[in-house]
Amino acid sequence: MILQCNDLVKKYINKTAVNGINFDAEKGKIYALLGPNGSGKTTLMKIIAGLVKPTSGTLTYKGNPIGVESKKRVAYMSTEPFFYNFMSVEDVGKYYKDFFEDFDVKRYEELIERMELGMKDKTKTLSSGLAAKLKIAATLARKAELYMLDEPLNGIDIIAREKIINTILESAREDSSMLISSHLVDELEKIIDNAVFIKNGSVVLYGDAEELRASHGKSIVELYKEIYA
Amino acid sequence: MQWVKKMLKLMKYEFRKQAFSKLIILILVGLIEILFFFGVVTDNEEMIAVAMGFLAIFTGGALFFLAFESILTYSNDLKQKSSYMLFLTPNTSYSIVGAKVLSAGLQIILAGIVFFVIFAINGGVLIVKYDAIAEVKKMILQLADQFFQLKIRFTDIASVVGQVIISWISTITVAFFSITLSTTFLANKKFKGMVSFIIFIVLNVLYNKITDLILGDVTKYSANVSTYFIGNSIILLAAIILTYMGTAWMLDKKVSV
Repeated sequence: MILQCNDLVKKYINKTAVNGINFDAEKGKIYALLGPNGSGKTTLMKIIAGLVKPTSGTLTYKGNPIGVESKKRVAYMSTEPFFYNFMSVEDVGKYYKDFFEDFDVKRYEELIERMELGMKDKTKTLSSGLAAKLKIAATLARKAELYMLDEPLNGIDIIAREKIINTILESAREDSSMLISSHLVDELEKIIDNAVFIKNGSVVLYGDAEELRASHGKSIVELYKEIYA
Repeated sequence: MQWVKKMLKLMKYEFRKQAFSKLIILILVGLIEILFFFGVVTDNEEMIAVAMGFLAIFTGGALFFLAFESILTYSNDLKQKSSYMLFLTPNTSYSIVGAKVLSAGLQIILAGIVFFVIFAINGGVLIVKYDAIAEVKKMILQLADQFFQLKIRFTDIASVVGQVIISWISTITVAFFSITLSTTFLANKKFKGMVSFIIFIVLNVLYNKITDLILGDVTKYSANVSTYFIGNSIILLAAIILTYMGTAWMLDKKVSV
């Protein structure tokens, strides 16, 4: 196991975003975090990324608490645009190169070209679709052990989605894992090994995607509809 | 050495975040200087006086703004999504806060030096050009010497300058601490800024009380001002260390961005 969450809880003043989540992730697998808006997926990812501090519970990456070492190895892409306004696409690459040892500049340049972005483009002037592509390029240009992509297809037009999914699959290696959240369950169904269904901050169903389909006699999309409808 | 490299990288981006305002300040100073030298060349004393007046007001405003901007940048780093850029990097919160404090302190020192040099150049030009100003300067120094028996020593000047710099840095670290403390329990609530400000005021009152308690009345030190400034600087340094450590600890353990 590379990631272990035990009874993870995150409470805010007026709501509980994560309510006792138990979840483990293995090396070499792609996990889908599924659930409607406000179910706790993003908060869980942010806790793993070290951006949000849990109220209680334990969380370890390779047996150690989340911290500097895990941040070296976990690549997180948030659903919101997060690049500094003063940066150009080229600056984003330099910033990642400055701080992440696993950042591959050549791969970044290749992804930027593939995403039809220009190195001189200013991040603050990018459309939401292009900003989403830039986030994906910067995140996947790292040779991370764990990638966490929060709604990677948000803002991406239907034509470019396949390109993004192929790029994500390209980055999946035997020695790395992926945690992907998306509302577009049918797009994810084709590529995932495991599914984690989250409702009101708790895991309601979790397992190997193939086994879930076999045991319930339903596709992941159908299970999603059954759980959240 | 790796740690130093990381700090320098963090500082580089702190400077870049605030580079635009520095550019504006430089342009405005440039414009004031053009006005000043135009006045000198054309012998327009009124223009020189206006330029020097502007420069004096602008210097105070710019130094205040630089300190305030560092605080504002930190506050934004805790409430805007761009904070992910900073907090996702594999740096300890001690490095992150340390880089912010160092770059803020460095900016104030550099700005102080730049403005000092500008005033020195302008003053030099005026003294060379107008003998009367040189006479006035001599007279003021003689008067000060005779009437107030002021013996300005280098150690006194150095301790005052040191005190001003440490005082600015402590203002910044206390502000960082206040913002971080309010973030731990208010996250991004609307009135967080007001709560941070109240915490800041309370901490400053506390600091003044502690200083009075330890050093006593400032008038006791009229014979040796340096002793007071050194004592005060030690208390300020302790405040800087405590608020810096507290800020970094809260960021590490309590703050969600």
